[in-house]
Amino acid sequence: MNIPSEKRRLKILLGLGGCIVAAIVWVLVFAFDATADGSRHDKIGFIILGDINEAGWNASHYNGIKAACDEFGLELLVRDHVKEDSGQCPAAVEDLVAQGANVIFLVSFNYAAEVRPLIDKYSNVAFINTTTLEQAKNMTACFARMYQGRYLAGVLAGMRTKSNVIGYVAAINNSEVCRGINSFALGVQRINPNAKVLVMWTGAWQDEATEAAHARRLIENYGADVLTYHQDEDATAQVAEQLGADFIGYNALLEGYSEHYLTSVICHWDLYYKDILQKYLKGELLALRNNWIGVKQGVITLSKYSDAVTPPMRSVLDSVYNELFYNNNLIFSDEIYDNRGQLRCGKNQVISERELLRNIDWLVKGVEVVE
Amino acid sequence: MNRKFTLQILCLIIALSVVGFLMQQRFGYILNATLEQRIAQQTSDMAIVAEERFQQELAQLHIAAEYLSKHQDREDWNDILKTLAKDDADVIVGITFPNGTAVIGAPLSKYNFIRLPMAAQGNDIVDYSAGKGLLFAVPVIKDGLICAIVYRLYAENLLTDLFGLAEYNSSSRLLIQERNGRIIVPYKSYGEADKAFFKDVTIIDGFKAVRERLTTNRSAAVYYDGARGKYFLFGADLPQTNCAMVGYVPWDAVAGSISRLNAMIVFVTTLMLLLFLVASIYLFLINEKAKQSDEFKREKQEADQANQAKSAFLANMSHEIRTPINAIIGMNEMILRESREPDTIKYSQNVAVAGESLLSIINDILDFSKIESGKMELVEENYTLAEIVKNLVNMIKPRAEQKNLAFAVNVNPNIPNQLFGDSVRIRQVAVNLLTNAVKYTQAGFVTFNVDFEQRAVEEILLKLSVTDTGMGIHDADRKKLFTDFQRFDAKKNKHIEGTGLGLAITYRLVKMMNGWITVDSVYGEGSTFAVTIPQKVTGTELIGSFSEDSIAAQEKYRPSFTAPDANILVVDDNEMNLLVVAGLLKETHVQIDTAASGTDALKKLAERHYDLIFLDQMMPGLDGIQTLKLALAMPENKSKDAPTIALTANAISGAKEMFLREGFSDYLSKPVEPKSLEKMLVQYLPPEKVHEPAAHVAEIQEPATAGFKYLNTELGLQYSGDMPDMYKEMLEMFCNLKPEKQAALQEAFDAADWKNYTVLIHALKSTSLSIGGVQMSEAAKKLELAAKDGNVEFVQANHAAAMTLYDELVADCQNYLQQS
Repeated sequence: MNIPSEKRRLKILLGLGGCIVAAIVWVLVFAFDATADGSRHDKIGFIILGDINEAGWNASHYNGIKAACDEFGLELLVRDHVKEDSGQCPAAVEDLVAQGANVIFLVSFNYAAEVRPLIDKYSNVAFINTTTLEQAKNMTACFARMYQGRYLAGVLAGMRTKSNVIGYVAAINNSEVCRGINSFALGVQRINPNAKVLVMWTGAWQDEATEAAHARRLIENYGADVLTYHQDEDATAQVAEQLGADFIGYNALLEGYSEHYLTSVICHWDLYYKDILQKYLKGELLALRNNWIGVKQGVITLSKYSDAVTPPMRSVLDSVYNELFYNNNLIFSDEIYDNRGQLRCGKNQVISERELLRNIDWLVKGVEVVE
Repeated sequence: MNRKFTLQILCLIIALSVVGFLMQQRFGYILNATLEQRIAQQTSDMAIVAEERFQQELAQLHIAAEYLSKHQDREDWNDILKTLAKDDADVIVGITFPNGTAVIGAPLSKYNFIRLPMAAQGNDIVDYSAGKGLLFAVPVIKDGLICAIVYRLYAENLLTDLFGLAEYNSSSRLLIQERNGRIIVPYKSYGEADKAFFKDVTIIDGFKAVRERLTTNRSAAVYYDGARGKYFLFGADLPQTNCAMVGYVPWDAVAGSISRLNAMIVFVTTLMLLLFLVASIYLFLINEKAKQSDEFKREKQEADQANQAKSAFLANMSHEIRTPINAIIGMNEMILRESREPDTIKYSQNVAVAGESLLSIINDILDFSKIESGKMELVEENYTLAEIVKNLVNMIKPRAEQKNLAFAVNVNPNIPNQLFGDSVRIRQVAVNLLTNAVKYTQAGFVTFNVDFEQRAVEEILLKLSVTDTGMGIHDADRKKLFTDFQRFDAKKNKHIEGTGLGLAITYRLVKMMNGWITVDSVYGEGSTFAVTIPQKVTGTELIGSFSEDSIAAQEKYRPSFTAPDANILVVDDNEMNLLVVAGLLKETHVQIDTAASGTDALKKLAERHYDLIFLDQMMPGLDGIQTLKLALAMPENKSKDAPTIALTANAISGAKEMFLREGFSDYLSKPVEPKSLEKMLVQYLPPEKVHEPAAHVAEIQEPATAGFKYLNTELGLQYSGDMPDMYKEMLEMFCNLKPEKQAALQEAFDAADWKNYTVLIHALKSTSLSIGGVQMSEAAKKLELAAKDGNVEFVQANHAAAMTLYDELVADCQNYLQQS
């Protein structure tokens, strides 16, 4: 009675000892895995103006970088609600650097200028800005070729307009917005040389009242039957829907609209951020001052068309899309005159990217600014 | 055990091998992973070199582009192109519009050179097109507008010379590929074998792994172990181009020296594992040994315990046997003393011989148990050798003559007679040898030789040897001769009595006395046992010539003294023993007083003075030692100066010392030997009261008839030495004591005092047997055993029946007394 139980105890002890030894061996053999693996633990900082859950610019960017970071297994550090020119951005940069961020995205126009001294100070951190003119050794400007989407939108608007008057509610007169207007207008003219584009400035990225008023005036006073806009919100779209005019959205998928909502110019921010982060990981980012990403990378597209966009229209859009895919220079090349009659680009010439980025302070022929 | 051990070691070896194998694998893996990292780092450094070559090309074009943007004159443009062309037919230079159509020189197709549109956006490009060559192109920018692209295109056959990379080391190969894997710039020695290498499916898979890593890394290297051997494959993408630099290096070239380290580590690890293994085996063996020695210890302990149990058993047995022997020898002595009939005397003499022999067996056993337990001690004293020899001859000669054997004694007359040693043991040794010789010799002679050898002035070697013409001993048996309980030729010897202890005891005794024993024997012809014992010489007297006439015939008992004035007290709870002592001393006329208990004795001691006291050791109530202590402490004791002799049946070693320590003068072991008793009296009685004996005649009485249910009178008479008077006296005493004894028993029974009960019932057992109450004795024996073992139930169940039996027995006794 006693002896078997003792044997069993011995067996249990032996088994336990075996398990412990096995565990020790396991640890000994595999503990060095991490050191040998050489896996990277980069941290990505991300500073943005609004709330990351706010639909539109903020959420689309956040979701994009989140997806890209997840794909590469990178850690994402987010600082949102960071107001421009308030001192909040430098604090956020300091904070992120302190937390070990290797890359910091400055996702608002004025951030880069505000933190310029910090960019030089933290020279081993890669800064990435969007839509800025600031330059630094360790900073890369990354751009989505939104203007390519504008061009497609222009083609569609040119096909849809019956009044040959197309309204454009624009925020601020800068190189980025003008580039978009010009590209849109060139698109319109490519398919409908008789149509004209009317631009109304609001003077702000977010001013729903002014936007709505402008949209109403463009339709009611100027007879525009297709509208588009360059604002952070869709106030223009609401007015157009209300007044039964076609409209094309920008940088967001809108919901709850009729077939007047023809499509949106959208950017696949996940692909955009993936491209940037991949270049960072490959060590190619520092060699690039500017990084343009567009149709060729599949980043810029039009969203799902409404029923108002007929199959012939769709096939035209497809072919233009293909042209863009193979030729980045399709839009800003050959003879281009501005609305004052000045030749901005000669035959067999191409407007350089640097020029497109910084110096578009003119509007092409066929664009009128109205008050 | 052996198989289990082998299995355990095997398991250990397997486990260690598995661990070793795993560790080696892991080491190799870590080594390769580390080398992969190192090589990737080097690759990225080399990629920078490759890139710089490209940058040099682009720098030249930049200068040209700069020039072109400032000079619109076509003549100037041609000059520039001429300087770029290097006068080589395989170098094509030209200027195109951004869309690829030619301005000067050949046009470029954006379908051949996919990166061309990037140049049209303002970027420098390096682009490879299979069959066309490697293109370097730089945009010409004027006022923010790209108006042209200047390019230089190298045909493929030039590429190796211009861009072929220096070899990494003598055994490695480097080349530039399109990122899709097509080779652009092979190394100089690139041949068919290399082509086959790069086309090998497994190698291609290896480079796929490199490519996979390159999606998120600047450079990468992978360890390849396949059909083509061990290699590191590595690669890095060249930024801003569609090119990648790839290469391979044999594993040996990189890890050769490190692998020696690896081998060393493996060696050391193996060594350590082996040491571990050896240590394990060693520990295991030690453990086994310890286990075995534990087992030995336990076995020895068990054996010791068994031995102790044996000793205890022997001591108990001796006690049990001595009581009846006491009666036999004592009564027989009475017969010898009192009988006038020659036949009776003869019978009685035979009884005496048988009794002596029985006693000697018991003594043998006791001696042996003493020796075994290490309690045997030598008692050395001065003695005369002649006396011992005489004694021996007297003892053996009759036996030899009985068997018609010639018995010769040869004593060297020059032996010192006065010696110092344990005469008792020397005598015992000689007796053992002589009796053996007589026992085992059927015809012929037995010779007893006594000789010596001077060893020092006061020391001799005493040589006793016994030669016989007996059956002899087989050579094979000789070794076992002195081991315990051995008897040889069992069939032949079955009629010979003995315990088989004789020689074992002899051997041990001789050893104890620092002597030795030798045996010389021819099987079937006879043996010689020779004993040599060192003895000290204490006197100058020599033994002289030894006369055989000194052998005395067996004489009728004559008391050695009379002491009619002496008073002695004998204390014993056993009435029989009192009777025996009284009987044995009858003819000495010593005045004997008896007491049946310690308390009784104390009373008697207060009444009068005694010259000597015999005090039994084991008694119910006060035992001997307690009684003596009380007596010595009692003021009214009139015999404080009287010597007290202990009587004990447990004559085990150490007893004498114990009794002396307790205040006794001496001790006498039961059964009481008449001569010892008399000797004791002579020694301790005041000499003035001891006189020479006078002639004395005892009467003989007729034995009574028998015929009772519970009383075997024949047996009772036997125990009483066939003396009807004595028997009657004993019966009377038995009857008279009955009420008292029975009451005491009942009292102990009622009080559940099993210890006292055991003593009382033990006494009843022996007294009833000594008067012939066999059934009573049997019943009492069972009760005694039960009470001793704590078997209370049995005692309670059988006590009443035993008491009834007691009544019946006493009734029988009274009837017998009335009849006679």
